Amino acid sequence: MRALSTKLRRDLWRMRGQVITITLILASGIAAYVCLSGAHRALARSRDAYYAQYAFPDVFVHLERAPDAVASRLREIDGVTSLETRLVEGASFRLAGEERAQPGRAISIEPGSRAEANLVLRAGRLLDPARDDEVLLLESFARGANLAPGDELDVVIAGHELDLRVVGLVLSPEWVFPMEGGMMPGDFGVVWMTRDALASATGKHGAFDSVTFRLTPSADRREVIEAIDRELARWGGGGAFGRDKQVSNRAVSNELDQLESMATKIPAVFLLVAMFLLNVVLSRIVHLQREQLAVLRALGYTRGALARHVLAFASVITVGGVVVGLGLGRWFAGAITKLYATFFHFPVLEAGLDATIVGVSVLVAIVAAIGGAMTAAWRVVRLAPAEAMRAPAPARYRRGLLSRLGLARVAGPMGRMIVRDLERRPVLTGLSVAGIAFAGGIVVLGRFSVDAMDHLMDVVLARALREDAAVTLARPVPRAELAWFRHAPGVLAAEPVHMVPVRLHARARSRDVPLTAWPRDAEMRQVLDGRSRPRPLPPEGVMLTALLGERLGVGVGDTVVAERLDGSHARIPLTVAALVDERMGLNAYMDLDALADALDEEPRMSTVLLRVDRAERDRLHGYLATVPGVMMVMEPRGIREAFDAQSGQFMLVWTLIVVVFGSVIAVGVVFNTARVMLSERSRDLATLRVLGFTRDEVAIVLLGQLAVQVVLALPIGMLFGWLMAASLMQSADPEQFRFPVITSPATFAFASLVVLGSAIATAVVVRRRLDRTDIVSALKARD
Amino acid sequence: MPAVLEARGLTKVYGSGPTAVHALAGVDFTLDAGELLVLLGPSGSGKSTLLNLVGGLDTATAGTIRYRDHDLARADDDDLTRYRREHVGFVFQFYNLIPSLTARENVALVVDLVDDAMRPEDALAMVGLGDRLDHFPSQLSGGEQQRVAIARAIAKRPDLLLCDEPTGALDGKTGRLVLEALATVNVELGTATALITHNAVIAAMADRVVTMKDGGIASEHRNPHRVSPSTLDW
Ligand SMILES: Nc1ncnc2c1ncn2[C@@H]1O[C@H](COP(=O)(O)OP(=O)(O)OP(=O)(O)O)[C@@H](O)[C@H]1O
Ligand SMILES: [Mg+2]
Repeated sequence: MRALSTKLRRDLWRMRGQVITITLILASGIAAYVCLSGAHRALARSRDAYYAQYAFPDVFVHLERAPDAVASRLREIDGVTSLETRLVEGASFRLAGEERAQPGRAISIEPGSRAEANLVLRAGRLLDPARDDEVLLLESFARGANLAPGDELDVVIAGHELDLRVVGLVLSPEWVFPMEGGMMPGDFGVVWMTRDALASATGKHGAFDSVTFRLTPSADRREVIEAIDRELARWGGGGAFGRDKQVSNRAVSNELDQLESMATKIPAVFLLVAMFLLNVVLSRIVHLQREQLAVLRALGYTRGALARHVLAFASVITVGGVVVGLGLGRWFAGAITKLYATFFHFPVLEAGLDATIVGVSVLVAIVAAIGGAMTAAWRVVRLAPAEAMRAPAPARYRRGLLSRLGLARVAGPMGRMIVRDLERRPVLTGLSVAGIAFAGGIVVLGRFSVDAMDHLMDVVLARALREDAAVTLARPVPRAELAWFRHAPGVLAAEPVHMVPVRLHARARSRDVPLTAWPRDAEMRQVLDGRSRPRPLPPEGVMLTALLGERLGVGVGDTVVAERLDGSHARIPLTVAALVDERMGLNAYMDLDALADALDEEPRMSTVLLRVDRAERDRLHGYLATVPGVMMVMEPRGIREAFDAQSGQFMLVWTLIVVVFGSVIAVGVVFNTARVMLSERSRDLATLRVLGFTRDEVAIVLLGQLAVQVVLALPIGMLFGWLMAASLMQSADPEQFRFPVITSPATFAFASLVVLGSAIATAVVVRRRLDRTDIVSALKARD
Repeated sequence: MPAVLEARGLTKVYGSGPTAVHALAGVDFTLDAGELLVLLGPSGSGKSTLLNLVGGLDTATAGTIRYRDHDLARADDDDLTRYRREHVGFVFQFYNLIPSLTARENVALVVDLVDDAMRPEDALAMVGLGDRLDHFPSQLSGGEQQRVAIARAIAKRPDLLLCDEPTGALDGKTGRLVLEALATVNVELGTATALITHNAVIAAMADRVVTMKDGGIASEHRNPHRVSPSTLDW
């Protein structure tokens, strides 16, 4: 046994280049998997811990105004454990040196209450109940605005300009990501002040206009929501909703979903591809040793002893790869988690490796590495020793397809050797080509999410959202108010949009969707089909996205029942007039007048779209900031900027990780393919040198084979990449966030460069090694 | 007869320090034009080392090798490659054919390298394989493969033919066919041939027999007349 372990040591040292690159392939696969899925899990855990620790409510409702006495009736609803009543008003923040006011909210809070205890105090102190000019400010906003405890703050609430003083900076699970639609959290301000102070500004003394609820774990959320809506119907209830529709939570979930779709499946593919390559490369190396193994068998070593020997070789690589991979992955996961956590301002950070993720990667590594080595070893050991030893005698060659096509004749003896060698072992050649192709495909796959996001932003922003600014109103107003907006400073045109949250029912099925309506002749909104072509709204009835139609099991001409979720729970039958193959999700669209008819009310609007004179932009924003009914103003251009600023950083990190690991895998595969070829061919190559061929000529034979494989692999790799992206998206839940399968030419070029680059680097190394082999020993060597 | 190749004080040391092996210790060696020389000697006596140096596969630690007016001791890798390409043919114990090329193509491999080469068919005919042109090595017997190797070595009409145990892996009958091929080439082309063997019987076919021992030449004698390989028996 001592002799075998000496052989093991020598083999590992002799093949150190290969051992290291294979270890790196394994480590890269594991690191990419561990770090990206790990980051997602860590963030999800951090969010959950945050929500639990700071009592994020289960149900929310906004209403016109209700006297405090109503609260006790709400408390009696079955399933409600606790509730907080409060005032929530639109607020705009005037910051020193900024022309534009920043949008936001003012929220009432009782000093010493549980609600106050559920704020995360980050700096300063809580409110003094005796003072009415003190506020707590959302930390994420304070940072961007450069505000600290002790600073003065100028806020407009319900038309009143208030001079307030910041006494503390806080975070709240309800305001992690206060705005939807790509706005940065730092752009939206939230202040908490005493009930009395806020009531004075709004005139809502002894009343509340917003409630948050905590439910028992077993409560039926739907029933509770309906009960709340019944209680609040006469107080102008706007429809209670759960966490799934809470703005901040939904934005956080969207971000995490997005991360999940990129960060769990893609790394899983990474891991699997790395393991496949590991398997191929290891089994080739073991195959090279078949003669030695056969001799050992002939000498009397048992199959078990040889199996253990090969196992030990594979284990060194596996253990090394797993350790390096977990280490790297953990480090990267920590960095990414921190990046996101700072972005979300999570006060609780649940970093650290997830046992499942570690378990999965170790298991897959063991199966792939040990499996690859052992199947190859078993094939050899199973044979009678003599049979295995006989093998390297001239391998059988035939004239293959390429030769018959006359290619070999054209190519000369060198070309002939290249072609025949590739042909003789189609399986091996195929595996090498597939390996290199996968390496390229991984890079394509890694960059695909970036491409897809880019495309999505372009299409949505350039064609679907064509307004300069969208003004969201605190509550729907009659369409006639549009005239008022048309006369606002700098406004060139204004169009109404009405969004009603509904639950669409069809037989036993239902889905909660936004029902969005605008006039059929509107110019600023469009529904785009799968090929980004605009689809006009039907004059009557509702247009559903094809996916929604499918989920509800309805087609054109069928009837769906829309249950209003904005408070009344009225049920309105609607005819499905059209289905549109829109790219994303579940949506329903209607003409504005048709919607008003169906709801049996005056045409209303919840959002106003504006076309704005550029020169007057700042004046308009300043003006809108003082209008009580305006909740927020959003510019699609700003969305793109915010998206670039916010996603740019993540995309950079993401691309970097994918490219680094993808390239390591590409280099590893190409290098090992070449090295194995070099070992297999060293005697032939030495013979050519004896015959008087120069080093250059000999190198052509080897590097030519490599080149042919790389050239074959490139287009296949691009195809693999695209197919992997497509199948990933196929497996994604279409009701959730979903990318279009778009890959840009730049990505293909980039992936090709990565593969070619690694091939060329490898070729240089192999060439140097080829130059160093001395003829006499190569002729003697029989492995 | 004039010497084609002349080595003086040829020394080859493998490794250094206490583990150094003196494979050749100051050997003087000549090969005359057109002669057939057999190298005998126990295993490890330095036969292969000598032949590899003479053939330009390796470089000496000390000493000189002159081939006509070239000094091989001072040659660099490019010079040695050109020397092998233009003047030397090798035959080894384990044929070393390129498995992916047919018999004809293995020979054609060297035909492409030099100007005044034989046609592969002629070279193969000379070793008695005119009818196995399009067979791959795996479709040939050991003796046949060795004769393809000889045809490949002589197709470029080398001045030197160096054979390291060409019959080592073959039985008597097959070995005789190979030796006949070598003798034919030696006579018809006048190629100076050096042949390493462990089989003293083979020495009878040589013009001259050199016996090596411990990295030096132990003895040397000239045969009064050469015996045809077909009459050798072992
Ligand atoms: N690469 C090498 N490194 C170290 N020593 C070597 C090397 N090649 C040969 N030798 C040593 O040089 C000596 C001569 O070797 P050589 O191969 O010339 O012997 P040989 O006469 O051809 O033997 P055989 O008849 O067994 O082929 C031997 O002692 C051998 O161990
Ligand atoms: Mg020898």
